[in-house]
Amino acid sequence: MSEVEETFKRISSHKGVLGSIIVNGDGIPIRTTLDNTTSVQYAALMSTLVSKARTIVKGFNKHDQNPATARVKGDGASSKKAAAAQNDLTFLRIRSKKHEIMVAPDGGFILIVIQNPSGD
Amino acid sequence: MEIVYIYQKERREFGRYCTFTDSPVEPLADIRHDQVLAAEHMERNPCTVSLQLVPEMSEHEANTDRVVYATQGMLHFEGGWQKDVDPTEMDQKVRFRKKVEKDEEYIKCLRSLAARMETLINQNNAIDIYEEYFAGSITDHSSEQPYAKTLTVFRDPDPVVKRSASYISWYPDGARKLAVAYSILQFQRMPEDMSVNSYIWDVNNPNQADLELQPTSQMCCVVYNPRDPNILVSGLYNGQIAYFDTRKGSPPMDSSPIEKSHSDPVYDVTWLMSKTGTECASISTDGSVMWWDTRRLGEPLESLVLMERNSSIVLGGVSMEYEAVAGPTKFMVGTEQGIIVSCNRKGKTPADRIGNSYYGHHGPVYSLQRNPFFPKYFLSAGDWAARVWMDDLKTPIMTTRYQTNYVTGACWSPTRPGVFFTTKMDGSLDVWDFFYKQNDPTLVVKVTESDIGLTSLNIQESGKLLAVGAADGSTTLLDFCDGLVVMQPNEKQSMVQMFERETKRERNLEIKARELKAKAKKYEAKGGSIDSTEDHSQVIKATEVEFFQIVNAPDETTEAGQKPGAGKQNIPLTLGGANEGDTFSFQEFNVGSPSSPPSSPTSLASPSSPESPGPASPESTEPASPEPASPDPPTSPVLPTSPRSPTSPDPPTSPDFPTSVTVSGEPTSPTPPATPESAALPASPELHTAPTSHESDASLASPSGPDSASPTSPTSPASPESPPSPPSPDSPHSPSLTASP
Repeated sequence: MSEVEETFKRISSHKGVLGSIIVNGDGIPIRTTLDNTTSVQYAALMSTLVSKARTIVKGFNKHDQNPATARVKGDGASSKKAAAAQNDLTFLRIRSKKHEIMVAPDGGFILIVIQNPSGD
Repeated sequence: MEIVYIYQKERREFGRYCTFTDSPVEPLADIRHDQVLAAEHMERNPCTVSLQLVPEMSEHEANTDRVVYATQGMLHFEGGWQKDVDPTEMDQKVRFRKKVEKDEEYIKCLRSLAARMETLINQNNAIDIYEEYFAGSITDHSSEQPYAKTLTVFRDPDPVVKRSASYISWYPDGARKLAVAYSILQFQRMPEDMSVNSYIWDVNNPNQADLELQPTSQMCCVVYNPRDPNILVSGLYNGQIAYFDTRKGSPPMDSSPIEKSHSDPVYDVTWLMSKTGTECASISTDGSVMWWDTRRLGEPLESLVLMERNSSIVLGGVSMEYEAVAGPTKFMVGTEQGIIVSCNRKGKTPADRIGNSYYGHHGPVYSLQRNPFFPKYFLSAGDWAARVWMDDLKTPIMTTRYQTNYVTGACWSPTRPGVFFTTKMDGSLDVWDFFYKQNDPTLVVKVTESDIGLTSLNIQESGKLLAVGAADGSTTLLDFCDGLVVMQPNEKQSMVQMFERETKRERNLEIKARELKAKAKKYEAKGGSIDSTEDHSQVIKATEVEFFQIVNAPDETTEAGQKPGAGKQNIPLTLGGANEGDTFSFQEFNVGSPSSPPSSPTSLASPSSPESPGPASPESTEPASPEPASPDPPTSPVLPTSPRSPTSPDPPTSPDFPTSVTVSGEPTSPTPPATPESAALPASPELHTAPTSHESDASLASPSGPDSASPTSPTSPASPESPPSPPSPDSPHSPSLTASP
């Protein structure tokens, strides 16, 4: 328990981080540093986006056996190559005018961090 | 001849499969050569057959289905909880979360996710991968050819009645929507069952209005509240003020009672700078200005009757200018009478509230706007020109060339201090870039057909999008190229210098004019009024003689007239006449110019009238001097060519008339020549032949007189003052004038 709290605290302590949410597979925010309404909005929208993005990334692999091209996911710079056989989405970065939304899906959970990179 | 062969089949064979077999050839009929018919045979000769060498084409049209766009939003409610959890119960949710958080899988997941996330957060904080490398650099667009693109056309949805788009207001927050007021403002030209609705359009959807506004009468003007983009205030044809809330739907939220509203259509309304952001002011042609608070539209907060100082004539307002930067209580009204009145709300008596008035327009002032960068300079549009004024001066500092069509509106570019736009009656939009050139518009955009006038315009804050309303109810959205949007290097400084220089020039002229007037009065007091009648008849005679001399030697003179040197004397005339606004051409003549600047706009006021008295004057051998129209003598004799030319008092100028005539065809000409011509006087004696120079001086000098003339009376009322004034500036000439004949 303390480890979870510590992790959250550490993430929030970074420069420009506005909030972080962890969402379970059903789209329910489990832990959040934001208020309830905002968290629900982010959770709902991000989990659908993540599931769609994941389908696409997996679809690449199905048609294209070349793992090099199949690595195009979310953001090329940050995506990590999954097992060549089974491709998967590992990260999604969305840069908007106001801030950057970083989404890391893994197993049953999704971690969403909202950062304002230019601000403090 | 008919050949018949019958196939027969038994009934029982019907429906069976056919079985074909070979059979020998069997003739069915034998047609023999017929001698009788052969004798009747006639060959057609010649035989006509038409051929086309062009490939055959056909036209095909297909009307595709219209794509309908709709904007939708989604609001998520809490959900997706497991069946045994009630999302309304806080403790159940907390318990569920606790349970999840205890999960080993969750902790493991979070650990790996957090590690990945942290790398990226650090990366973001270390380098800005979206850094803008060329943010500070300014691109020079001056070399590019300016252009404008039409993005969309919004048409009045009312299919039957053609209403004009009389007012446009942009959504205050981004170029998303625009409110357009539709009305027919011609008196009693509205059909019985016409719609009074106006519309708010979404910029991206020209097919369907975003919202319909349903006022009680036609809407003449509508303005978005700059503080709250959901609120609009509008002035109606019946004089009422109504305000709308787009969240509450089409009908007005509240409107002023008709007995306490204006008694004429409300031509302009503006939101004021106030603490609550609910105050607005309206003007109407009934001559009153009213202040309102949209929270209490029961009666106006205040009202003011527009009357000039020391005058009892009520002026009807058609346009209003309010800019908080220039002063939160100050405003200006453009009137139907062509006078611009500056007012201040903070005055104790009505007389205190009305300040300067600016003369110059010969018709209603349709637009009035302060420069967004230099609020003491303002732009007005009316009659055939747009003018730039300075707060402290009664005359315009810059004027555009008179257009062939009525100017119906003007506005400054919000991003470039030297750029403004004017709309005209012939359906074209002029873009003026004073930073680049002052004589002509840099770009003319034909927005509608020539017979459809433009009625309104409004530019979006970004300076890139301009909405132009036309008389047929269409609103065209134009997109300008960057050259017209992005401020050029040094533009601000140059424009400030240009405005200041023009102000100084105009001020000098004003001072000079005042001096002249004072001198003239003194002269008059001495009783030294010249007997101009006699002089002039003699002058005319002399001129006549000389004219014929010139006419009889046409080759020389015409050539001379065309020579640049010989034409010099007229250069100021043509320049001045061509574009009063092209003040640069005046520059050289300013210094000692004895002309009276106020005279030009005032006597201009009657563009047609100066011409008519002009020709009349020599005929009756009544001197030109009592005629304030006397600036004309150079031009007038030529205009009514046939009867006048022999008696024309100004032969020397005649070779150059072609130029001045074209100019004088415009309403502008009569007076502008006066200013530069008289300014150029010192030079003229050398250029003219001796007798004419005096003569022309005399006739030309007189124009400087009628400064006091009221705009509408170029005839007698002004005359007593005008003759005395000319001699004084030209005192060295006046004796010679009498002597010359």
